Amino acid sequence: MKKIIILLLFTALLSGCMDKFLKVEPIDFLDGNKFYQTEAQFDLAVNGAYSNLRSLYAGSMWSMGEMRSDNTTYQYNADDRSGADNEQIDEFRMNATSGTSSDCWSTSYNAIAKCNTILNRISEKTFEKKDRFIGEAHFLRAFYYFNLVRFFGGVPLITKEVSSSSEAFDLDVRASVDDVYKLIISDLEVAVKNLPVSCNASELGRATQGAANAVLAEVYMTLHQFDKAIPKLQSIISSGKYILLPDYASVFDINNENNAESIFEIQYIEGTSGQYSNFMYTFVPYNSGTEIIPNGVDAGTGSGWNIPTQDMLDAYEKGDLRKAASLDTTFIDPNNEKMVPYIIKYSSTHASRYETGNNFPAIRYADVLLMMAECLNETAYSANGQAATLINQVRSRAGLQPSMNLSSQADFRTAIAHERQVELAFEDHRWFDLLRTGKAKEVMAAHGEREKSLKPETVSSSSYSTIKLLYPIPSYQIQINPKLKQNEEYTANN
Amino acid sequence: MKKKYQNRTGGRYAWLRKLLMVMKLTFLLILISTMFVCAEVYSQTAKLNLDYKDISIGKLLQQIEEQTEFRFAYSKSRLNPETRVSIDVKNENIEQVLKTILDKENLSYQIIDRYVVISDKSVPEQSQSEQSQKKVSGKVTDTAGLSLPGVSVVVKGTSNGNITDANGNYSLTKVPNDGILIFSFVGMKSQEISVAGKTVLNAVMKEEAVGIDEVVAIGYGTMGRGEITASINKVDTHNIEKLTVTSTDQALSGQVAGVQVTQATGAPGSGSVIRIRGAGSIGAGDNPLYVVDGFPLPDSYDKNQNPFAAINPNDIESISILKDASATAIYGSRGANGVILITTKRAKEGTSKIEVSAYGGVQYVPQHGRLKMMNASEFAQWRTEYRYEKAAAEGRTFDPNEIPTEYIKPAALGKGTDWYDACLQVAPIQNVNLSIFNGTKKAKSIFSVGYLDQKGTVMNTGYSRLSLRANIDYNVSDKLLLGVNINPVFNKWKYEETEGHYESSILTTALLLSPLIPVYQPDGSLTSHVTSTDTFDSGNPVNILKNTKNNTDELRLILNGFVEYKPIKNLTVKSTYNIDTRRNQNDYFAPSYIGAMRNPPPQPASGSLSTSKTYDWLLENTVDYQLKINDHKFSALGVMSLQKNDYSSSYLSGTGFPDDIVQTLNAATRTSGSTSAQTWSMVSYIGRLNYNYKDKYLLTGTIRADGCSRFGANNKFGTFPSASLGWRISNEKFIPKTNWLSDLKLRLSYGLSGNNDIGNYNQIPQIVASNYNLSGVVVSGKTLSGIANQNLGWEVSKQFDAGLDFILFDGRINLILDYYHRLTEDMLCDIDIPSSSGYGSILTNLGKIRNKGFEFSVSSKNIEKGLLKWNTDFNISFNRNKVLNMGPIETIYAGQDYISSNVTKVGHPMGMFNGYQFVKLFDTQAEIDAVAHYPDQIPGSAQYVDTNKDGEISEADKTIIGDPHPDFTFGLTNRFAYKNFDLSFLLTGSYGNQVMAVYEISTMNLDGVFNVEKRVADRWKSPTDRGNGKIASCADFTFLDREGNSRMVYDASYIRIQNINLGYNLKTSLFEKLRLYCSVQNVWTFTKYPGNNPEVSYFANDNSLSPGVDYTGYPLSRIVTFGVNVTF
Repeated sequence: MKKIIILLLFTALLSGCMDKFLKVEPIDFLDGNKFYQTEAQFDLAVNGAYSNLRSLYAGSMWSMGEMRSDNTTYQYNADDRSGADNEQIDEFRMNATSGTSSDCWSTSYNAIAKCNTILNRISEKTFEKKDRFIGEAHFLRAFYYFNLVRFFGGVPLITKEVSSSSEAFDLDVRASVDDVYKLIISDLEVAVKNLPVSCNASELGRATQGAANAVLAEVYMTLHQFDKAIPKLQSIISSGKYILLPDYASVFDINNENNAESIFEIQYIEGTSGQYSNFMYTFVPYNSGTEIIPNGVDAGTGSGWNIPTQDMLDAYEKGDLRKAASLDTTFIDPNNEKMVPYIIKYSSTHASRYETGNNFPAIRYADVLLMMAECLNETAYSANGQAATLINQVRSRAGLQPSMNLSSQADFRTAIAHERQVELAFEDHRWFDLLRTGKAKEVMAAHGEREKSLKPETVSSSSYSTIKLLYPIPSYQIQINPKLKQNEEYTANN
Repeated sequence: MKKKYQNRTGGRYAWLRKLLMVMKLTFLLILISTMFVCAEVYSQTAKLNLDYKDISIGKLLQQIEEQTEFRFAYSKSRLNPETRVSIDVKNENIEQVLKTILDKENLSYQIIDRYVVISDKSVPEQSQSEQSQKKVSGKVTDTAGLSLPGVSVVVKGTSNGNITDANGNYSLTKVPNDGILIFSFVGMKSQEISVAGKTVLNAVMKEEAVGIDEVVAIGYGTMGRGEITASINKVDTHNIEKLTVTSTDQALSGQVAGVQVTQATGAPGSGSVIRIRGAGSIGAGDNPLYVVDGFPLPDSYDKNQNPFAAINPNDIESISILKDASATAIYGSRGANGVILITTKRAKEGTSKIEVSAYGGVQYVPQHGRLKMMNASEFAQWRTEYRYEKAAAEGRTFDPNEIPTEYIKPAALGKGTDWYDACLQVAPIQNVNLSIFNGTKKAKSIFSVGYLDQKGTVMNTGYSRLSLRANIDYNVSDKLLLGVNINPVFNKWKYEETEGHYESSILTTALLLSPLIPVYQPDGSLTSHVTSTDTFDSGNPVNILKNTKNNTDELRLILNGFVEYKPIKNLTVKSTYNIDTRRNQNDYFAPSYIGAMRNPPPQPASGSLSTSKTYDWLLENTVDYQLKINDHKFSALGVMSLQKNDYSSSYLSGTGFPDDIVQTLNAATRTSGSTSAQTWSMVSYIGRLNYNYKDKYLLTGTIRADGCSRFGANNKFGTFPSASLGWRISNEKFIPKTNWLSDLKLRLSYGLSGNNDIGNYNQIPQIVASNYNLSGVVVSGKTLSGIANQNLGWEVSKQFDAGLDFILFDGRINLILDYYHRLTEDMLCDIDIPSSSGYGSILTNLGKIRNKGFEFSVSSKNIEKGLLKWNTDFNISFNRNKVLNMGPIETIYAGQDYISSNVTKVGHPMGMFNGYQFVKLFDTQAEIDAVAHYPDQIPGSAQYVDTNKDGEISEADKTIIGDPHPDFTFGLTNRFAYKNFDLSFLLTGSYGNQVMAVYEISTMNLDGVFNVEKRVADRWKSPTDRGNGKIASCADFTFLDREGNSRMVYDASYIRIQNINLGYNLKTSLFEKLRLYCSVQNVWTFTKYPGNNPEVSYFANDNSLSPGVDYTGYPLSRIVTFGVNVTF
């Protein structure tokens, strides 16, 4: 009996420490409730918010921002139809189940959530780098939203940390395009105020005041508020931080990354750290074998994308140095004996297969100069004025004669559009430029006709039939939350 | 910080360490003592102290049995145990005591060693002298042929008797020629056999009225079948031991109503999917809890690695399946999906025997059920016709010169290569077991060793298991019992990628390769590339199989130790400590020269090494008290239990091997690695009360409170009560005693049980790496990986059960009927949330699923007498599953691999098939234009139903196109014995279930990049040549045919002859028992399903949301074995 009592006592004693016994601390990860406390931790969190840029630009941006435009297309691969999604994007045949646009959606929103969490949790804290973190989080949030609003239209506007599933459903309704731009502008204004003018040499790739001003200027231009864009661009130009490099090709040289022309660059490094780009592999002909990349390329879904179109090849003026620095026209497809051009802006020698380290230029000084020229022309056309000087600065580096005596605002507008097409080719600007200048439908319809006549065997009759300006909201998002409405162009009766 | 924590732990659990140490010592002592145990001679000088007034003789004898080692045998007809006597003796010997009691009753007795035989005095012994008298001897066995020690054998009407010895032998002298021998034994029917002049008289004892007195494991104890009020099925090993299966899950197939055993794959060493009363959970597991000798093993179901692999089927004594909440509530938070209790063999007192069993055989994949792929000439023919049809559809005239040379003369190509067959082999299987039983009053032990080696029917696959077991019980005194089970197991698996679609499965690749290419080159080397014009370039599957290394080794050790103490009468206190520890290592290497589908060699070689370590311990203290007051019988149980599980794993991988010769990772030029660790803990308090009034009214109440580390701070503890009621109607006076109704019991139960089968840290928001790089250098980044749910709690299952147990015709027919209604609520479910939140999903409690059903099982002894014996077991179950509510989500898509094959919607059963509904093939452009269609469809392409009536065919038109759930499943076993022969066969079946043959995405792919099924020849070629009307024109783009659609859904009802076993029992004096047999496993499957296995489940690990999906997998083999069982 005594023993039973002892046993019972043991049991009673144990109940006291059961809570401890049941409290199991995680071993191989950090507890989120205990993170976001110190400056170092916020530093890590901000790095995390940048990291989505890497997957966004290597994943969906080249397809949605460049291949959809008249600049590039794809090399038809009869053996492998699994990349049909990107072909549909190229030829305006896409539907809402597209994996590419769904990737863009979720990658962007994942990054926005990171920014929201940082902003939510940093407010109570005080430490030295707080301002910079606030600036970066606002910049990045605006940057991601700016892509989203141009791709999808008015998207759900999430500006706070979502903390429950019901909140996630409640907030998932589309805001107006205006409201999205309001947020982008106010975010960028906060960013301009808080970001440093430049980063130190060990942190190249972080956002700066210049980057925020450039994005803000492009936002204003997209809203056709050219007068508001001018001071932003002017402050970049007069900051004296940036120059045009003398040689166009050196802008993209892997040994010259984050150079003086670079304003905001998506960062990649070669090798196994998971930080690589593989633009080079994605953009070569799928059947080029070891001919182009010495390390060898596999035929398949990975390659044959973002192939320059005939329109693009034709866009280069004779003697334009940028053509040879941007693309190559020496590969002959063994299947049909036709030349297949391919992009070389992101090519480099490298040791590790697939895992190249070329950065992607999101904003560079030439872009700023051309934006400035565009704004000046839109606000007040003046023949051979400052706008012309700017455009000629870009042209002369390309080894071209100045384009003088553009006789009207409209001619100048065309000249800028053309200059941007070749100067910024394959840098994911073309589709947005077409949208901003209102030329998308006209240019793409004409381009479509040309493509069909050039490649009747692969471009189907239904291609380019309706030039849709927006991407569809990913269908799965609507499936799980019917409150989210589809873009009209993609609803049943369209 | 870390140090401090450890100190704290050390202080608080020092008692535990101490206990552990004591137990370790105990184990050692037991081990040593058992080695020296020898049978003792029982002293006749045993002294008795008895003081009872007005006690029944039966009770008194029982008291003596408890005090001493004497055992009494008496024929019930001679001695009325209810007769009341009084006795008061001190330090008397047994003879004196017996005299005092028995003289009055006119009874005499005889003491033989420790056995006392009581008989009637009235028959004068002298009268026998006139008759001729002689010696009679013989052997007593049970129906299974096992010898029975301790059976009392008495000459009727005399006190002349004896007890069978350890080998079941007896001998009696002075037996009259016309005498009658009475054989009696507890739990067996007494028998009277006339001597009729014979000198050798053997007897076979039969169990008394099957069922009622059967002892059944119920979770934390055992109970007589008659007293059970819950829905519990017992499977005895003698029912399944003749199925030569490699693991026990396969043996359960078709044995128990309500238990669906699905053999999802044929890979050696793989695990079956077991569902008890349907699937009730969306996000947490649906696997039952496995409890081995009282130890709930940590949940470990994996399609590749079987939870039963730890246990040699040969070591299993019985399996109890707890189905309703009254039975499972005692396992609380882990009982919701039912519980499988496994009891391993222990030695009985007085036994000493050695059992050896061995079998060997061959396994092969039957031709029946293989997909019929085109041979070389058919393939070339198709590739030629394809070109004509394509041209016709495009309005071109076809130039025959465009036909590639290799296809020009189809007929000359002959059969070519059957790649699938080339990957298969006839494979040997062998199994050897040795068990040694030894039981004395003091110590009972069993030692067993088993070795199984099963080569796979797919090249370079296989499974082997070496298992050892020692179960030892040691009686320190009448009050103190110690026990230990030691069970080390070494498992080895050899895998190849055999499951899935062509990109991951070598077997599927093999089906799809060009039959024009030979396996071997003329020089005898393996062909490295397999491709013809049009087809994808691939590696050679035979090369891949032969040269890919993917081996897993596992060492598992299960230890149980217990101390049982009976301080006072009817009170038992027990403490058990259990350990399950596992070390697992997988070694993988794919050399550069093998390649794969669409990635022909050379490919960079890759290798990996992954290890895992699990350490799980359970400490349980149990108090059990029995009380009987007149007609009221109570028993109460209290348990306190602590369990903790630590798991860690590592993964190392390498690429850039300079050659394929050195395959260890030190040779790799690039390596990466990671490790991880997890832990969970659980605290439980358990109580159970049984009440029995006159064996008529039975009541059981159970409650368990579980706390688990896996749940949110706000919901750590869950309480699971249940109650059940039994009414032995046949014991009522108003039920007349008839010959046919031996027993009838009504059972009713209701209760709750839970499910905690989710990850270990889901309630904690995780910070994960999210790195970036700046200035060319990696910078660490961190981010939240999801939204935490502090309210995360148990999933609760509420179950009502009503059952009727009949025993008819004196135990010859045993019938069980059950109806159940099980509601699973607050389901643990990972729901997808809008991506705009930044996250993809969140684990939450929501929704409701109902399973209701009916189960019927009968076992019948059709013929019992004479040379021929025949008995039959049959069971059938009907389960209906329905999702009643899923909170904010309307639809869950699952089975995502190539397509999304399954969908779960409110108002339907879980995991229905998802896809387009096929209508017909369009014949003309006008037909296409008239209805909803996909852009650019041409005549000869498939028309699908425009489900949402929006005028076009799109993803949104996918709908429910099939039901993977059977209307009913059944099992039928027949056993025959004729003279020395025995024969048994087992049929299992399922009716009304469908399977979605998703592999048709590839095997019916009309692009021409693969070989295809023969029936593609029956495709649509023109409006007048429509083929079978289901296979589209190959001139079409094939996108729509490669989407999930109703043409892929097949009726998979089946009846399978699971096993036939024919044995011959040899009678020889050398062995106690010797049986030779031949067994065939997976004899034949009658089904309309075109694939090899109508039970297939590619997503077996997520079977509830995506059942019945076939991507082609490891085929089921037919296994033919010959074996021998010897007991001596």
